Amino acid sequence: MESKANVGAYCTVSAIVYRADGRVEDLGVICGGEMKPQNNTTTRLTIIQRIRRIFKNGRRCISHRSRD
Amino acid sequence: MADAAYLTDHGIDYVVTLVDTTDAVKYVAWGTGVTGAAVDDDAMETAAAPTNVTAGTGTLAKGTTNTDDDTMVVTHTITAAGALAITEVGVFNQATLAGGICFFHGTFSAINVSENDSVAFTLNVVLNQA
Repeated sequence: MESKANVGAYCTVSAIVYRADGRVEDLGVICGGEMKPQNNTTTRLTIIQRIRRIFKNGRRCISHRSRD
Repeated sequence: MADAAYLTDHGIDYVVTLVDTTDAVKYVAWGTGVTGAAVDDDAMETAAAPTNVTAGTGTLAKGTTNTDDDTMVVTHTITAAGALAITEVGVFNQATLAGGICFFHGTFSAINVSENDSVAFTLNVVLNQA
């Protein structure tokens, strides 16, 4: 019998840099992760989202790397 | 019948609305700490000026990612007074960092800024049934 009772939180940080000389740099999502519910595993969708974020921005989230 | 219990979509909306109604978790600080954020963080690692003592007052709002009003959104722009390598951002429940509750803490690859450069942060917390 399937048993589920959980809720999670998915967190992201996006940033846009406005340089003093007028240049604008949209960095997109610079960091993102997820608080995993106690009795569930990372979903396939979440894994895909993580991969997309990593390659989209050419940078890797440091904050949640240890929890992957 | 499956044995299941969920916080419903409306329940998530209710929780997000409660947080939004408090209008409290909207104070944003940046910093230069190099240690990755962890779930038990209770402060910035190395808060940096101009938010090294007092966080800036951001804007807290509800947003929709997967279901209606399932997302807490905090936005704020911080302007550098000098050269910094920004590597962390946090959201607190009060402007004064000392004694504040660290609601959100993220770390990332350095954003190098110079005097009068600004960084507009958008921080999203999406609740779901995982």
